Amino acid sequence: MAQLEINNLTKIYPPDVLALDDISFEVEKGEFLIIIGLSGSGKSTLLRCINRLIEPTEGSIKFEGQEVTTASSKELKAIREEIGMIFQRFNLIERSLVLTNVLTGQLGELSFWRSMLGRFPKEMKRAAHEKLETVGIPEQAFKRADELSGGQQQRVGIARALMQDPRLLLADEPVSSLDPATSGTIMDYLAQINDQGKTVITSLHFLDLVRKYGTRAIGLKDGEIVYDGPPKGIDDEKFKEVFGEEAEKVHIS
Amino acid sequence: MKKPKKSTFPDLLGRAKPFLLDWLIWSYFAYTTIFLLNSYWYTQYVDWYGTLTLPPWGWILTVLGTFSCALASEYFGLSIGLKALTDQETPPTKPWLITNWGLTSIFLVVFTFWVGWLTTDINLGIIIRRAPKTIGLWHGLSHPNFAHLIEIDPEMEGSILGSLVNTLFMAYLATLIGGVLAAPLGFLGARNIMGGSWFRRVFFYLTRAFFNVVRSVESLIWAIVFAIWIGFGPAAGAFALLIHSMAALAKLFSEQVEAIDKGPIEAVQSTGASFWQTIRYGAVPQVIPQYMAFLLYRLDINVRMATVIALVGGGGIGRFFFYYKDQLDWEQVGAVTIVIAIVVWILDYISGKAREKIV
Amino acid sequence: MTDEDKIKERSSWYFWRNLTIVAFFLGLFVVALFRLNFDPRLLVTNFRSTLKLWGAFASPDWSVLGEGAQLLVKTLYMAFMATALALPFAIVLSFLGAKNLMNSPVAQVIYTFVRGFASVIRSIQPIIWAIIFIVWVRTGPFPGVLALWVHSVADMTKLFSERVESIDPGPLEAIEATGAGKLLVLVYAVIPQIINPYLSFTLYRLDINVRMATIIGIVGGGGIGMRLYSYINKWNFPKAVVMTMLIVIMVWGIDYLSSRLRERIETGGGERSEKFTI
Repeated sequence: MAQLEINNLTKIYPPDVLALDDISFEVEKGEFLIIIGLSGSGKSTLLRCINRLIEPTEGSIKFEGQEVTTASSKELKAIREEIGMIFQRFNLIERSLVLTNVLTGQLGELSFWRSMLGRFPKEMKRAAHEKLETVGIPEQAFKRADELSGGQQQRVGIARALMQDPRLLLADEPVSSLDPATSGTIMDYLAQINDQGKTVITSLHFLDLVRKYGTRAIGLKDGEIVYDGPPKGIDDEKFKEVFGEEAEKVHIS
Repeated sequence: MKKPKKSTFPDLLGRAKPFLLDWLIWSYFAYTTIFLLNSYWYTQYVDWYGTLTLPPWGWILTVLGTFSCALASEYFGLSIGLKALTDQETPPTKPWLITNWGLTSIFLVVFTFWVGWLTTDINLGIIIRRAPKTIGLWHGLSHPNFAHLIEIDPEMEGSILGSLVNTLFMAYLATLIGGVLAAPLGFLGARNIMGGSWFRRVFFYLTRAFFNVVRSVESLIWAIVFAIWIGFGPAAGAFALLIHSMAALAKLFSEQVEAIDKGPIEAVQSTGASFWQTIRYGAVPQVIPQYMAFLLYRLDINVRMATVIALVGGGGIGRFFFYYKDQLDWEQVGAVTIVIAIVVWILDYISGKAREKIV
Repeated sequence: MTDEDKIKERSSWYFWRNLTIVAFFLGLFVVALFRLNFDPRLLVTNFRSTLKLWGAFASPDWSVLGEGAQLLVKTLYMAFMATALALPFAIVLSFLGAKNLMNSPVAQVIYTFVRGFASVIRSIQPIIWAIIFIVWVRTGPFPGVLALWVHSVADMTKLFSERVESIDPGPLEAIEATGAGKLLVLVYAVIPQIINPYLSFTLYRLDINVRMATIIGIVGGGGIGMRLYSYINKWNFPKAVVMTMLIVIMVWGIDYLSSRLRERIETGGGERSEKFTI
């Protein structure tokens, strides 16, 4: 059984914007899947449907055999705990400490009152510090999140996701807000995580990164899958089909 | 699958508002003109408490007249309502001053100024003529008598400083309790939280209406109500400030909540946190700093109000001011005024600095 | 100290600091409660005395509606006049009270004076000013206007001059560099940047003045406040209730208009923030 099974996924934003059109594909455990496409092709929507941050209009999404689209809130919580996510704009809690941001990764494990008062257990705090070390910024733990640079903030985001010890990591255009050099670092971390056996699904719009990091690529155009295969298979013709006639390749390595 | 709600109702309301504003402006213009004509017909000056008399057909004519003017103004480009309330982008071909509605606005302002001058009995001559009467006042203010600053005034059952402490506590209590109560109200009055079902929408409108009404009644008037309710004294003053602050803070807070960034909330949600955890970690940290700033701002205002709320039985340092004024004891009035000015000034300064640091 | 100890120390420091702050404010709160005899239960036990008041809501006396509406307009005029008359003074004073415009030593003295004076005058509520002016020119709407005027000048000067101090220095330097005189610098570098904010502040001040005008009548400053207070003193609640309703309508209306207009000014064309549902 594949780790993630998506069948006939459709999303329509009212009144009539078709974001995803009958998408179907499967993802095996341990893959590094990269979804490419222009802005507005549905990449973000697709990722957000997987952990149901966005409600699909039709279709089914099965994560490790469990149906996500009809899960109860308790079941959804449990599913989300196994799926980590990082975002294009980092989505950190700006005024809170970096450490607090990382700790929010394990909120699901904390009782109501402890989480309301912010009394995180020692082991959790230690684990959070470890995660920060893993992404190379342990010394930033007590700084306010908005004091960090873009690259550092994204690393905090990764640390937060790692706190969940997820089996699947979703990354919504994780490097679009970063400069080329930092992008490389972040993608390296994602590759490291993938090496440890976690499945990674990320959306990007730079082809070079796709070639360098992915084991499989899916091209989206106007909500439809126009390519599904190894990154090497995206030749110039395919490229134009995914990105449109006018697109030109941009090298960032 | 969730279906979006479609309604033409808000659309109609949107069209009605500028029209109503135009009608209001025309009615105001017509009413004031009639009133002036009325007064000048009967008397030589504008009577402050004069009454307006018109035969019944006169009123109907006025209403119809203003109604049609309002309708016509859109056609002739005179509509101020449209310009003020809607997002209509009119191409900036002519400088503002020369457009039809621009000229109308200027005319209205000048007209209002003229009528206002008449109605409010502005009379610069009196200022000069009666200046000698104020000598006692100025003398008192410049030679303040701090006799009862610390020593208790038997007739007042207290000292100025003692009363000052009460005043500050009044403001403090009102801001704190009001602030705490305003937080949940603010959520109930925020569009993004109260979207969903029609039930929630009803609550939203009710909450919004509630705080708009309460906010529109100044603390001093509330103090009158509470003085009747629980008797004169600083407790009444505290309640009055409290209820007004609660409404004012709730409104400010609801606007804050409406402007929350979705991002961090999504992020916390995606880790599998519960609803309340998401609110506590994703939404709350975004609004707290600004809310603290509002509380400080409100504290400043409450202290100012608390200094005079004694006028209607609200207790506090105002008691001394009004008592000594009734005794025509200007020296002590001066003392109280100076104390008030210093305290308010200090608080204003602290409040300003603290708010700078937060935001 | 090991890393782990450092971590423990940092986290626990934050926790204890927050706890102390909360304890302090809570303590102050409790002291205040007792000192002021603040007892919400009184609201319940004394409810009887307010029955007449609430009863009046059920049967308001509409006969005073006409008179009330006129008073309302006059109150509005008071606020308008105070704001309109304060505007020119505040504009001039704002330039004199702006650090970035007042450079020479003489100017610095003027600056300190202007800001200092404004601060002091602002600290004294319009009601107190109203009493001073009532002694001066007798009761009526005029002292009310004067009181609001004095306070408005001081407040607007503060707001305006703070705004002037935070303008972009670029155009200022550029025009000064061309050798233009002070006045020209003002007109071309400063004024274009401040027109919108000044307009916005004026509307804000108008809103406040309308609110103040409703209550300044209580000390004899004219307007609807005077009538409201006299009805309440005579325990004529049905009439007082009608007056209050009128006040609510006017203040709400002006508040709404004021904020809408200011929104328009600030965004120059209307932007609606994104709405979403949780």
